[in-house]
Formats: sequence, structure tokens, C-alpha cells
Amino acid sequence: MSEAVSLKSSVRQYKDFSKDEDVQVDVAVIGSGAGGAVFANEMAGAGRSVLVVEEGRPYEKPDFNRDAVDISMKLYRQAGITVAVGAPGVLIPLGKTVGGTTTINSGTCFRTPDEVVEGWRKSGQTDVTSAELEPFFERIEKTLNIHPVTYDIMGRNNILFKEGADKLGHSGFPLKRNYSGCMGSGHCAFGCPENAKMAMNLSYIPMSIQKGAKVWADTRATQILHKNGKAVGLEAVTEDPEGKGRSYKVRVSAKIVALAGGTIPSPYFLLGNHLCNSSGTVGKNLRLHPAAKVMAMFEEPVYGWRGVPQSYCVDELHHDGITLEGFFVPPPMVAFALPGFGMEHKEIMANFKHLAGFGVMVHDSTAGRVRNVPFMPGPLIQYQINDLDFERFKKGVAFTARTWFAAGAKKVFTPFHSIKILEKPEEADQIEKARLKKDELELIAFHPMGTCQFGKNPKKSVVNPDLETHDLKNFFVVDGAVFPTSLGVNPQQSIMGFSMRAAARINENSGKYFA
Amino acid sequence: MKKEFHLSAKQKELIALFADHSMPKGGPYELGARDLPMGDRVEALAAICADEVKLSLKITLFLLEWMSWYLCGKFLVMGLVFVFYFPAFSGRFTRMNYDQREKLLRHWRDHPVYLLRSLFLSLNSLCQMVYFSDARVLEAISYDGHKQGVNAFTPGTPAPSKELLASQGLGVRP
Repeated sequence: MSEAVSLKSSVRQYKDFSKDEDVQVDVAVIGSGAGGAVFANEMAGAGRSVLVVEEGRPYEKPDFNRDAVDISMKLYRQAGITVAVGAPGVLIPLGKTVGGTTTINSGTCFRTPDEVVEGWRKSGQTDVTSAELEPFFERIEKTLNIHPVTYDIMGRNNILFKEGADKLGHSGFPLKRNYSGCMGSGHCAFGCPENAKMAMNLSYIPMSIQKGAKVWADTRATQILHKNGKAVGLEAVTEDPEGKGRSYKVRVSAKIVALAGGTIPSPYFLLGNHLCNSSGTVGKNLRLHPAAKVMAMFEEPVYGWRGVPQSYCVDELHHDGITLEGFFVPPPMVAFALPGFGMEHKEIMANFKHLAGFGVMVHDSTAGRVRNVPFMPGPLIQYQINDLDFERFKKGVAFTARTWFAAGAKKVFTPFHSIKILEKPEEADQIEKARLKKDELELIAFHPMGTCQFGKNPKKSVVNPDLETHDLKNFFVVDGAVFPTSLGVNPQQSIMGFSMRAAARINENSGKYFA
Repeated sequence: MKKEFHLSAKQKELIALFADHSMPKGGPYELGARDLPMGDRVEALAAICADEVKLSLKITLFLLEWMSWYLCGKFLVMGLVFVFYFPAFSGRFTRMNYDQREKLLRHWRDHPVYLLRSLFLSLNSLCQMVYFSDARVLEAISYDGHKQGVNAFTPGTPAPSKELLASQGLGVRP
């Protein structure tokens, strides 16, 4: 599948444009990540003409050069430095490339948890059931070869944590991932250098192109065209990634338009266009799955960068809204999370091969907001962690520290500014007991959700349970923004599943949309 | 057309001085930030960041240069706040000696006002990203993940996880 279509030769880029364009298709899709790619593939598979416009560039295996900073500058939105304002601020790395964030995520896949779907049903937001979603998830799992990480590529980092968890009797399991032929290169978050991670750039995008879909990169949607309460297309601009050449205008007439820009860009786009906000909820209800790093220093060399960085999960605290998953990133991306300044910091970094890392992720109850503020060049993201979620972090970090010590760690480095280094397990108790301030916590978030939530009530939601906007017919939002709550698990498979279901609903009612 | 982003020579000097304290020369390995063109590399990284980050970087550098004047209470309102938390310094950052700079930076790092502390952390993070992406530094800390073709399962490369897994009976699946 991945070898059949060369992304760069089949995706139209800025260099391929020489004039403004005016095209007509059945379906126009904004964004090529988990939601947009699957939606495009389903529509193309049903015989519809499809155009995907993607703001980012196409990158392939030779581009994934294992230089974390270089890759961040190319594949991440704003070099990975998107920040939610609050105390503490939250760093939100987002993908901006063909394949979206799936190209630079860890590859972890979960079906939407039954209790989450049931919660949405009970609150009257949807009638969908886990059973109804199952066939979609099964198809995705088959297509992307989703299966648990095998122990041979797990890497010592994750194995060590598993050993600690086993000693303490905590439950855990190898994570499921979308991969084939993984060699444990450890660079999942910087474009897989082995083409093993079956991200959208290697799966649904090439598949949709094979079915006739067109993908235009370097092309940023600027406006939704609508008439009589119905979407009829979009306008976009194709921009020189070098920022030197002139831009070209693109006008797309379409019977269906799907917005899959992602949880931060999608509401920003809608607010900027004064669209679909009769409920006043666009941009509100931002959930992030905030996460914190807990690093450990071992006597033995760990070589944390070897093997799949996120390959094991400890779910002992899942019912408390806390999930622990492995992580490890190259030195430039983790140096700032380690304690000390000057020579103390240098001493720790000199022992980099002895470091291990695990992440604490919280199923957040905090709701933030994405705003479109006049004269501000990008979205204003606000997120102030609440007391409940902060307590969850204290509990999760202390739990993780104890697990590292059980695994034999000599020192544990916490994400709290005032309790940065722990040297024995008992010291983990002080994290739970101490009166820590929220702004002492260093947070990062990889799973924004919720800013265009679905629901049956048009006064309280942006899209209906089939992901069509309440305000504008034939206009869909098919990304992580539609989930009314956070999921408690990595969301990419849920985004794909709901996007696929939305496409199936359209195909079932094709007379309504394509007459 | 995109507006190009540049730092002045003074701003680059400030970055170099700051980085010299964050990643000093000597210690466990010789290479320090002063051996690298930190100003140019931070400029290149910041150039593709959001406008807010660029603005924040320039504000932070301004603050860094002039902070000691605030600390001396030369600006009445701000000075009263800062003088409470910082020891008194006089002079601009670029004119201080090494010990004075070190003392100032350590106070700034632990400042109780989150906004100020976060500006320090942002500048430090940018410098660390640049410094720890240099091939010589990566070699000095025994990191080889950036080399093409080298991973845990390439023949000839140490793969401790496999040996340890085997010794623990976890097995290796096909």
C-alpha cells in the first residue's frame, strides 16, 4: 500500500500551481489527518470525486532524517510550539503535514471506550452504541494492521516500567499500534524512518488517491461557500512554503464540504468565518488530555530511544481518570523537562543513556477554549487546569515515581518545580501531601478534543451525531473537535471511526446530498 | 510574502551569554554552548515559530538585558516588586561578570511569579533544543538515535532490551 503511491509525486504542491484555480467536485475535504483522510477515502470509494486541501507539505521516508529539531520545523505546526495560555501553560504539539498529526504521533490506537460512548448516550448527545461503531473500528484495524506491540520491539524503557508495575501488582498491557515491519527505531513522533507506522500519509491518503481523490498540499482553506443554508464549496489559497512566491486563489464548488483541520484550527476557522456558531459553543469545551513526564535515572544503561517509545500502558488508575503510557523523545525534546541549571543539568544529560521516561495522562474534566481574537495572528488557546485534574496529576506522578523505584530507579525526576528530584520511594508521598501550586507543574498535551462537539440539541452543540453542522447543511466536521468529552485514551482511532461512520451515513443517504 | 524574522547582534549576544550559563563548557564533557553559534541557530528556530513566540523571545531578551535595572528599583512600580525577590544588581546583563549573571539567572529561574519564570523556561528550552540537536553534543552524551540506520535491531548495534527480555523469559515474538 505504502509503496504503491509516491506521496510527493501524487500530491499537488505549490510548485505545481501557476494560476488561480476553479474546480468542481462532489466532496471537498479540509485537512488530511485522521478524520479528513478516512473521510476522503470513504467518499472516493463510493465513486465520488474528492478534493482534499491540506495546509502542510507532503513528506516521505527520505525526509524523516531522525533530526528531531529539523523534523519539528518541517512537520509540526509552529515547530511544535503551540501553547495554551494558563498557569501552567500547556505545550500542544500539532502536526501540519499531509497525514496531519498521525504522521508525528506515537501510533497508539484505542477504540472509543464503552463507558465513554455510554456516557454520551446517557447525556442524550447521541444514540450511537459501541456495537454500531464496531464494524468501523474493525475495518480500520484491518486496514492499518493495528495490533499490540510485540515484546521484541518494546525497548528497555517500557520493559523496565512493566517490571516495576508487575512487582507492585499493577495491571498493564502492551499498547496497540498501527504498524507493519516496525524495527523499533524510536522516532514515531518525528516521521517513521522505516515507513512502518501506518499513518495517514502511508495509508488512507494513498488509498484515496488510488481511488481517484486529489490532494492539494500547501493549500489553506479560507472560507466556506454557502447558499440558502447549505454549503456549496470552499475558497482556499495555495501559498509558497518558502514565503517568497505569490499565492494562488483556489475556488472549489462541492456538494459536500468536510472540515477536518483539527481541534484547534477547526473552531478558529469557524469563528473567523462567523459560521455554525448559533449555539455559541464553537471553540468552547476544549479538552486536552494534559500529560506530564516522569523521568527516572537507572544504574544500568536503558537506551530509552531504542524500541517503540510508547509501547506499554499501565491502567491501574484508569478509573481515577489517569492513564500511564510510555514515552521517550530525543535529547532536544526532553532536556527542558529535566531538573537543574548549568552544570547540574549537564551532569544529568551526560547520563542520557541511563534515563527512562513514562507519561501521566489525565482524562480531563477541565474545559478550555479556543478563541479568534481580532489582530491576533493565530488562535488564542485558554486552558486553566482545575483542582480535580491537578489532584489527579499529583496522584499519577506519585504512583509513577513509586513504580520507577520498584523497577530499580536511583532517582526520579518529577514535573513539579518545587519537588523536582526524588531519591527514595517514600519521598513520592510528599507529592500527594504537599500543597503544590498548579503553576509548578510542567504540562504537555497531544490530544485536543471537544471544540465543535456533537449533540442532538442544536442549542448546545455544533454538529449533530452524524457530524453534520446544525447551522449549515452539507457541511460536516470530522475531526477530534466533535467529541463532547475527552476519551481517556489516545483518540486517533476514535476520530477515524466517527469520520468513517459519518461518511457511511452520507453514502446511505446519497440521494439527499448528491441529487 | 512572509515577513522575515531576524535578531539583532545584541540579541544574539544575549542568547550566547544566557546559553553559556545554561550549558557551560567543561564538566562531564567539554563542549559548551559557547562553542556553538547559538544566536544564529535560535534565530532560525524562532523564525518558523508563531508570532507570539517570536514576540515573547524578544521581550524576554529585552527583560534579560535590563532586568537588573528593574531589580535596583529604578522603575518605581516594577522595581518595588522585583527588588523584593531579587538581590540588587546594577548594570546591564551584557556588562555583568559571570558570577553576577549566574546569580541573576538562578533567581529568575526560581522566581515565584509564574509569568516571569515561564519566560525564563521558554528561553532556556529554545537554547536547549538548539544545543542538544548538535551532532557533537549528541555524541558526547552517547546518543546515537539520530544516525540513519541505527536502531535497537540493526545488526552490530547493542540491543540490551533483547538480551534482557530473553533473560527474563519474556520471549521474542516473530
